Amino acid sequence: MIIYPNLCLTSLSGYNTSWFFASQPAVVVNSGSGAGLYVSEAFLNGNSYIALLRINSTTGCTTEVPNSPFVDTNGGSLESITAYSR
Amino acid sequence: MKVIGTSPLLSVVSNYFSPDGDTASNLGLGITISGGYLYANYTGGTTSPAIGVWKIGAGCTLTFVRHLVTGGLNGGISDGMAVTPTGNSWRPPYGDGSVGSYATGAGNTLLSPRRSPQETPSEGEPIPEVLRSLRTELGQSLEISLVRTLPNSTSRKLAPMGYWLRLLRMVELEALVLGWTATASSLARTTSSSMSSIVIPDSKPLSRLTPLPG
Repeated sequence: MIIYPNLCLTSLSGYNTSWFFASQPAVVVNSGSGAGLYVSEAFLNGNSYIALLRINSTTGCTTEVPNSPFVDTNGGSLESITAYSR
Repeated sequence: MKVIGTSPLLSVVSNYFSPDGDTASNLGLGITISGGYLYANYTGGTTSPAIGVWKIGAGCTLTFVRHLVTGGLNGGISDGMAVTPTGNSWRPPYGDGSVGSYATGAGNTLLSPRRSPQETPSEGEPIPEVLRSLRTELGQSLEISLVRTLPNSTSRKLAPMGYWLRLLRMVELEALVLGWTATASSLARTTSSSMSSIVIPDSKPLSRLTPLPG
């Protein structure tokens, strides 16, 4: 048995209406609190989606931003994502 | 795909296909980024399994560099991988129960596989190379990484050294296989329909995440 100091559970928008399967999370920025998380979503209507969630740097809990998820019309089976900035 | 300022806020740059005939037709395609290069583990195609290396250019464009035909100890394929915090290497787990370790460097895309079997080491056994390098490279990130191993840990009755060795093994496997993503303050992963996250305490996380006896 494991004790977690805090545990958050956040429902993702669009489940079973736009997408059916959420797959990979990826940090927006690979430093600090990460700024946010991307989540790949797909396998329902021919499109894929990328959700954006903010991270509360104090609690570590995540909240999906307004208008998320963002559609990716390039295909309906997105599973693997990673973020890159330059 | 790049982020743009107008709706729908995402724009496809291009579709890139491996010139060596590698595809995602078997179990998909996992990607990871390190040092300006994108590494893609192809699960199908003419040379399955293989790792493709792409250089990331301006505007999220990709230029093919090379590929390496490689797999697990028993020919297994991988569907995901992760770069160590130092960026010096990345590791894919394979479906045949082995784990790969591939060196990277600043602009150097030389892939040098080092593999070890999945079996968890027992007390008194030498530390496998892959664990030794992982422990060294994780450095200050070690405690954060260890936190994510605890939910599946069954090693609470082991002596300290064995305990840590087993945790180190699970760091690698769980981080890669189960898809936890770590930030400075939390760990997160998805279920089929939701996002769960766990706070990482500021210091001594293991003291606050001690498994209960029994």
